[in-house]
Amino acid sequence: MNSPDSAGCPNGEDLASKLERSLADILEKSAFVFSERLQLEDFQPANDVYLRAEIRFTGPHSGSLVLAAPRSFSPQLAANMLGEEIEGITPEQAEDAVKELLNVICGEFLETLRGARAVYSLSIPVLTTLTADEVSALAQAPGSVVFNADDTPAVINVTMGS
Amino acid sequence: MSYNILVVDDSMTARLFISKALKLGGADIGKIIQAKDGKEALAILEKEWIDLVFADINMPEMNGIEMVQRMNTSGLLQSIPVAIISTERSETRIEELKTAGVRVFLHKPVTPEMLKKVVDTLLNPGVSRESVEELGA
Repeated sequence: MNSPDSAGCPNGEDLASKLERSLADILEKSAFVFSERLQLEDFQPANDVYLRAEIRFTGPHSGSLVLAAPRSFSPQLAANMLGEEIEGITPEQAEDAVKELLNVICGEFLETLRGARAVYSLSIPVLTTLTADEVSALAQAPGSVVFNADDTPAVINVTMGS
Repeated sequence: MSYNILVVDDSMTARLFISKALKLGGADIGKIIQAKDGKEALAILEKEWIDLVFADINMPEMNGIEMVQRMNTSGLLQSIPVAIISTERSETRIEELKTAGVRVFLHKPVTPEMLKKVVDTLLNPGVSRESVEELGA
C-alpha cells in the first residue's frame, strides 16, 4: 500500500482505488450504468472519437480529473441520466451529460480524498475530443483508471499538483 | 396551491433532470423556469413570481453564492427560499452558505423524493427550523 504524501493525500494505487470507487458510485447512482475496472493490457479503445471532459480543482490539493468516453456512448449516458428515450437526446444534451457526470464524480472524489471539512473550488468542465491513439496514451498515463461502462471502454484520470 | 420554481444550473443535464424530478416527485408544481447562471436567474426573479429557487454553486457569469448575496440585498427577493443542489461537499462552505441565508443544501445526485421533501418543507408556513436542517443532510 502506498503511503500518503506530506499533505495527507494518498498516491498511486490508493488514489486510483478512491477514483474508481467514486466513478462506480456516481455512474450507478446518476446514470444506472455499471462499471468494471480493467487491467491496462485488456483495454482496447472503441473505434470511435472519444469525448474528453476535464475539470480542474484547487484547494488542499490542486489538480484535474479527465473522463474520456466514446462519443457514441454519450447519448445513452444522457438518456439514462434524464430518464428519456435515446432517440430524443440531442448531441448538445449528450455532450453536456458527460461534463455533468464528471462534475459529480469530482465532488464525490474530493470528499473521499480529504473529508468533508476541506474546501475545494471546481472549474467549469470543458469538453474536447481525442483520437484512439490519444485515448491509448491517456490510458497509460500515471493516475489513469481504465474501465468498461456497460461494456464500453473508457478512461478516467486524476492529475495531482501541489 | 401550485408553486412556481426556478432551477438555476449551467448544466443543461442538471436543469432538465431537476425539472423532471420535480414533476415526478408529486409536489404541487405550477411553472418551472430554468436559468443557466445567477445573472439570468436574477433577471427572471425581477419579472416572474417565483416561490422557490433551486440553484447550483459553480456557474459561469454569476455563481450561486453571489446570486444569493444579491437576492439578500433586495427587499422583494430576500424572502424567496433558496435550496442549493451542488457537487460541493465541504461542510465549511455549506455552513457559510447557510449563514448567507441558504435554507437547504443537497448533494448531487438528487432524487425526486428529496426534491419533493424540500418543496413541501420550505413552502409550508408551519415548518420548523429543525426539519429544514434535516433536509440538508
